[in-house]
Amino acid sequence: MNVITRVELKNIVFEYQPGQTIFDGMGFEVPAHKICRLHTEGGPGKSTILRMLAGLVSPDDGEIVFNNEVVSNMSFEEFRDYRLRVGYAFDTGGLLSNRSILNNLTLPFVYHNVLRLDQAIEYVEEFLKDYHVFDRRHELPAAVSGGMRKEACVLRSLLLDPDLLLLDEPFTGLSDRSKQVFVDQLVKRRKSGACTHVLVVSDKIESLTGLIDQELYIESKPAERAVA
Amino acid sequence: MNPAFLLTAVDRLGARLIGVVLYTYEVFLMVYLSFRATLFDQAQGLRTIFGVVSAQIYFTAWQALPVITVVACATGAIVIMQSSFQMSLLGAGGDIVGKVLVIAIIREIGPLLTALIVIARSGTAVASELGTLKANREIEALETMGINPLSYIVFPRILGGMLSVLCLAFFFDITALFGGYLVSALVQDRPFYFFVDSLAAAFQFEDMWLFLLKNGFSGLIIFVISCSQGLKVKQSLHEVPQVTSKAVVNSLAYVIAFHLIVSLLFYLNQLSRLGVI
Repeated sequence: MNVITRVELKNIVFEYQPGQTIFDGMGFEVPAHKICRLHTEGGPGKSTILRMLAGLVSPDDGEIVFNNEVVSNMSFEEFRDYRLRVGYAFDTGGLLSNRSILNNLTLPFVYHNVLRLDQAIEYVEEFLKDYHVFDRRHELPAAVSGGMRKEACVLRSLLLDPDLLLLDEPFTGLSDRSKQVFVDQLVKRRKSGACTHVLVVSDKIESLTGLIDQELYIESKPAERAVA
Repeated sequence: MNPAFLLTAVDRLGARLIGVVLYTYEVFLMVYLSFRATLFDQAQGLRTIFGVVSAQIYFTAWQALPVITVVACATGAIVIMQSSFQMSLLGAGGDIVGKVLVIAIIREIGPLLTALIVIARSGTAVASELGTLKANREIEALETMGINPLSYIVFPRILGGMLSVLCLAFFFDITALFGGYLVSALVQDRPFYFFVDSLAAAFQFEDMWLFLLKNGFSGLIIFVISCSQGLKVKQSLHEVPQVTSKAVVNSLAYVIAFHLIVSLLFYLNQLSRLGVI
């Protein structure tokens, strides 16, 4: 499996709809070994950057580079090795509604034959035990509170020890205790060499106190083109 | 006639035809991509696929048996009642029963009614299910876990759907023949062996190929179109009923067009063998 050591976006052009351009030549390199909070010029587009890095949307033009390899034009199968090194926490939704919370979290391990089902359950339960959702882990997502769904979704992004962690409004709806447990787990993983690149999108500054190493300001267009 | 109006009408027709061609290409592309994704997906074992396929067969075939039984029995009985009465007016013999049942039920009505029932029950279910998955970002959740939705969700539904339609059509035919037999036995007092002999004489080897072709492709068309429409949902749950209704309309149009073309080719082949053309 390819370990991600370098992440860069080059000359990205992206429009939501024809004529609604949000990036025109945008580019930056994700700083390694830092937890960065993302800001974009004018506001919109932060979640789109995370979705592009997670392989959920493709830029209309430009390149996304992992380890000097252009990944933005890879097929699903070609990108799979990298994809399993990327953890992505959705801002809303993102859990399979017909599977229990526990099944949602064990699915990637079992599907990719990383662990047997019993091993995956043991690993995930150990991981979950300090969270509120632990007591409701056998229930479907619709049967638990929004906060618990958010916990499960955010936790899933950490489970495979990703190199690139993308957190979209990670703490919205989380209790202080859950937030602290998550931060502790993140710190522990970073010490062990995982989560080398972490990008966070959040408008709630107070929820990120003490977590962010660097504020990353992204220009939607390069200066000379914006002036032109 | 105003030439500008004619031009606009031709433009519209051309645009509609191009739309149909592009949509057909899109549907074929989805078939190719889902089969390709399944073949090249090294992580996904057969167990994962068969789990979803068997669930699809359960929902599409097993749960449809009661409605298929009623519709098939009634269809067989009606076809025999109507045709026997009309044929007796024309002076045809009793052995016409088998021919009518084979031509009307096995070749035409069976595949079409089975497809209609599957579209109404399962095509709508699949389109709305996939639409909801897309709107709730569950498709994206699978992708972030490295699971290809085309091999994990679409392919098993297509395979399960095709197998279900084949099984249901077979069940429909058998039940309709039974319904026909009941009528011919009760109303016309014909013995069972007479009924079976009449059917055996009417049944041709080509009927088997026609059965497999029509029903297999009906299943493929229904489930590919339903999956394709379901995955067209972009952002919101309010799009789900819209794509579901489009899935029904498109499935109906494609299934009927396909049956029409296959029947036409079949009868042209029959006429050619008889030396008529």
